[in-house]
Amino acid sequence: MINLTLDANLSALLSAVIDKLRNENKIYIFCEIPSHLNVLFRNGFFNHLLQKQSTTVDNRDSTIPLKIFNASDDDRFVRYLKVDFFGHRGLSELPDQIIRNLKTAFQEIFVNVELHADTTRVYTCGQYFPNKNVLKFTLLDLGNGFLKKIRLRTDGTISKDIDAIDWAVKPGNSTKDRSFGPGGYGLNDILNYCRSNNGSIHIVSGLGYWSMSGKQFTSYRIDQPFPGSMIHLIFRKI
Amino acid sequence: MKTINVKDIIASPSAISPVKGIKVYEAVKEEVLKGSHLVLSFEGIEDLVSAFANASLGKLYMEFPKERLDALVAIKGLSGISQTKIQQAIKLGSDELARKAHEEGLNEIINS
Repeated sequence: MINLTLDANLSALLSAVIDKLRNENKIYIFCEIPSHLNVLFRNGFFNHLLQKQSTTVDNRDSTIPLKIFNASDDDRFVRYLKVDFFGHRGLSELPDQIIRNLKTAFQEIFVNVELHADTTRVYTCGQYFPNKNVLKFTLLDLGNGFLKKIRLRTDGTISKDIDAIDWAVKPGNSTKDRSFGPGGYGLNDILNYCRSNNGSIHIVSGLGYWSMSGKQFTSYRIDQPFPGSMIHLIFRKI
Repeated sequence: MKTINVKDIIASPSAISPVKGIKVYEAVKEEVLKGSHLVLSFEGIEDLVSAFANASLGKLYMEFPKERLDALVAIKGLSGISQTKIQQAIKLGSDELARKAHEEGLNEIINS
């Protein structure tokens, strides 16, 4: 029995974990839903949990729905960004230039999952908190995590999850092999946006937790490994 | 002169995935190896990111001399940020120093 309170964007994480448990352990899930968690109906989480195909409607317009993408389905992700993310009322005041830059950065991160993570699924979900004018967004996969390929790319110099995240957020660093041409990652663009707009970014991969809030950086080792990579973004005073 | 439409090659208005970028690279490479002049058209492309630009044109410019590609391939239908991404990819592909600077995070050199 789990009693929980959570930001609804973490439905992406819950869904991924439940899918992993279902696939690996054939578990069955029964749940009793307290009324204060009705947001998990509105964002599509319970439809996913109960494996229903129907579409949910958010009558409060506070959620960016839970979606699960095939890592190669960039077209569907582009539509999601356009309609569900940037079309959301919580982001409606963003200037066009910022939308273009953020959209590009998200797209770069998405296609990096296809290249690096060796996984098929990407989970996303967001939640807008109108009273605080804060929007939280989570994107994750259950793939390799940062360390595996970065350790190879750096000939073993990087051997800890925290150091791997630190390496990946630096401009130009990429484990992409040259068969896909030159160049690096979109993560640094998101980082720059958060730094200049009072936002926060949290990254979890393997045993590593890394975050930036304004100009404050935090990183530490977590107790249990996260089997993949998760990027959690907080946009404030949008 | 043959025209290669990026939108047709990748069957999408979104030039995002480097896997799709490789399809464009292969289509252009085939013509370049024959010595054919061609137009590479980005008409109808709504989104373009550097991962795609690097896998298509960046990779081409890593493999072939810049003078040869500039003489054979005319790029059309780009504007704004997409044009910048393609120019950066060409610079990264053709200029070893720019590539090194990029890897060291010195983006002002690439953009100069």
